[in-house]
Amino acid sequence: MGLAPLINCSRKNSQLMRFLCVLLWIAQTTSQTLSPDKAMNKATPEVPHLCNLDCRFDINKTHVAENCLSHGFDMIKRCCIDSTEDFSVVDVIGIDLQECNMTQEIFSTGIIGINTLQYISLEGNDLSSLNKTDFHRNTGILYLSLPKNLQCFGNQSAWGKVVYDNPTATICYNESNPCQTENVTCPDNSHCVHAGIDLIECLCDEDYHGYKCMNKGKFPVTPFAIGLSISTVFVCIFFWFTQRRYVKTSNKNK
Amino acid sequence: MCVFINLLHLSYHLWHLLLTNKILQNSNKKMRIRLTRVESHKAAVFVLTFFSYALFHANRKAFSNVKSSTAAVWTPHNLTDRRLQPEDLWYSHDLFATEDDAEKFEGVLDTAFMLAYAVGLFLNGYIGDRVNMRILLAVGMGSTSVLVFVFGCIAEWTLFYNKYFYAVIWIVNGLMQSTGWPVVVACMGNWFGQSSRGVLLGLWSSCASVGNIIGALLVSSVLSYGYQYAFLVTSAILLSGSFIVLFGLIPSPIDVALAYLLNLLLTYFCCLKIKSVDNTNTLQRSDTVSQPIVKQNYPSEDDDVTYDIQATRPTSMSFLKACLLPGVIPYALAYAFLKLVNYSFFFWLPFYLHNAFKWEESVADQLSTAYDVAGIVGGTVVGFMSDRLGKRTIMIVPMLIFSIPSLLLYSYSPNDRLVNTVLMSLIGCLIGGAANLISAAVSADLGCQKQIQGDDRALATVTGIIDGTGSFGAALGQIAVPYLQTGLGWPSVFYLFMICVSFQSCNE
Repeated sequence: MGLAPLINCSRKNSQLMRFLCVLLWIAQTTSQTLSPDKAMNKATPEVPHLCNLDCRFDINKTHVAENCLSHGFDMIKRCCIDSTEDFSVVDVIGIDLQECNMTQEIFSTGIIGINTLQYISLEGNDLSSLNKTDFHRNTGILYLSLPKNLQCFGNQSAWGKVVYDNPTATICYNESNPCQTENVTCPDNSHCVHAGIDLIECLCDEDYHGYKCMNKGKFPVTPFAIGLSISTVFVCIFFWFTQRRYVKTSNKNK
Repeated sequence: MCVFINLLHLSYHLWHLLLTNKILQNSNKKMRIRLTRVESHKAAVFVLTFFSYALFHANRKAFSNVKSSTAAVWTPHNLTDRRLQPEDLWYSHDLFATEDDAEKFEGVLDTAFMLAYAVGLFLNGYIGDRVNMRILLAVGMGSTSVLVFVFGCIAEWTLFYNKYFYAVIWIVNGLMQSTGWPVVVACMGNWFGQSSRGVLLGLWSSCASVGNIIGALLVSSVLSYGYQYAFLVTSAILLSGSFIVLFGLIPSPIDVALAYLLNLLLTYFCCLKIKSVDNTNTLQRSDTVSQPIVKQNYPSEDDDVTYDIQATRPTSMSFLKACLLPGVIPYALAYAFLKLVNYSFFFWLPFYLHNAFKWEESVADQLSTAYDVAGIVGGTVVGFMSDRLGKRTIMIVPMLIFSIPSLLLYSYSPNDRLVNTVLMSLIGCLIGGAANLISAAVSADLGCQKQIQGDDRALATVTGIIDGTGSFGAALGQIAVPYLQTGLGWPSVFYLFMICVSFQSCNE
């Protein structure tokens, strides 16, 4: 499909063009027949199952919903979704799970694969054992409301603002990047990467790889092997021709 | 280049000999062709043996130069206040807790290698006189290459890190690497006679240093890709070297059976005994140590004199008999002490300079090569002089005696790069030179001395005995030096060296 603009199939001016157009046509029809739902099912994108939870708290007018709509995203069930036209990319921007009878386990497993969350509401659930790693790799959280018995995760510098005096929730604003707020030094050849709430990783710099990022570049195995083999063969032939050719296995008369 | 000058020198002698030899006057043109061929054989033997031993050394150097990398790979990241993420990247390898432990283990590997190498030298010297030396050398090189590849590459690619596995591989590697020295010295001894042996073998002994340089260059050029590629490159080149040896090496002039030329070249060849089928004319040459007797039949009509000659392969001498040859045991014991000092200098000099004078490691590395270079120069010069004198012991003993005060002087060397380098070179010249001379030229002399009666072949065996005993000394030194240094300080190390040198001087 991406090729279509490059090839003008109405002007069949050459053999090659015609061939390419036939190929294009075959590719298009097969892709349509093989994935019919992609072409037909245009109504709603598939959302993570966490969005389909049954909750008592009305979704309308919550902080998540208000922010979502004001930024021009769509609210689909309990989630705020930013998606492309064909739903090839579906980003979950916000999630409102107030009073959903949700446990820490449901949340932690349901959030796997989502890393674009900005607005999260979790109050009204029994989540006493929730901790920062349950949020996995969400690094851009702007608003996080937790049940009253929980505190904002991480140390003081992990959040831009923390509000404890709300009657129903603990609210954490603006997750900060520990690579910037804390003085983190990663070992040689690696750099700090924000990996979650108050979590950093030291990942290899570009070009570096391997255990402890000790290796740089890729050894040219094939050129080395070919070069060494060929030169070995030539040197062997040279030495055989000048040397061992003269070796007499038995000292017989001429 | 000196090699070629030497070969020119040699060919001049041959030519001179040829012109004065009236028997061969009628086949001048043919002779000229044959002569260049013999020179080419000699040059090839020189180059092949030189580079096969150099490649062995390159593989050893590869291990010592990747030590800090392997120590890092075998250990988790040293714990800082904050635990780094991701865990797999920084903490998944835990063969050793700290890099210090890993380095200690590498020291143990070095010692185990040295001991296995010493045992292997005795064995392979004995075997070398009994089998085809070309095959033995090629097999030794090939299997060393495979072992180094398994140690460095397979273990790393499969993430199989195991102390015992590494130790076993490295011990077997020591046994296989020890095929090198007895065989290459025996080949050189076969092709180059005593009159030119000192200078040629002195020069040729630089193969170990050249190998170290090759190894260091190869390692530094690929180490950034990962330490395993250092092993891959050096072992692959060693493997290709083993093929080249297999296709090119002629271990002894007897293999090319240039009988009529052998007659000519006996001045330069050593361990050859040739018998003819029937003798109508007898020619005796007595200007060689081995005093080979050549009986040759010259046909009158045909000027191709190669036929009618039968070269017989000599039988081999028993191990015990080889030990009891005059000079073998004294030189072996002397060499044990000398190699202890020599190897300790090799391995510890950069560390000593870095540790005692606080010089930068790169500076210490560079300056310590002066010892190596001086050893080559000393070995070659003394080798040349001993060729002229016809005696080697008379040169070696004064060298060793002078080395004792110079060691004492060096232990009081001021923290001055120039003075230190000069003193270092002096010691290198005396101790390194003597060690090079004993391990190659003297071994070859002793292996084909006139006491070897009949058809016995002992060249590789004797070389193995001398270098094997020496390697035991070196292994002991490797164990002793770190303990002495940490327990009693550097002066005690130098006293040990001086005691060792005095022992060997008494021995001579």
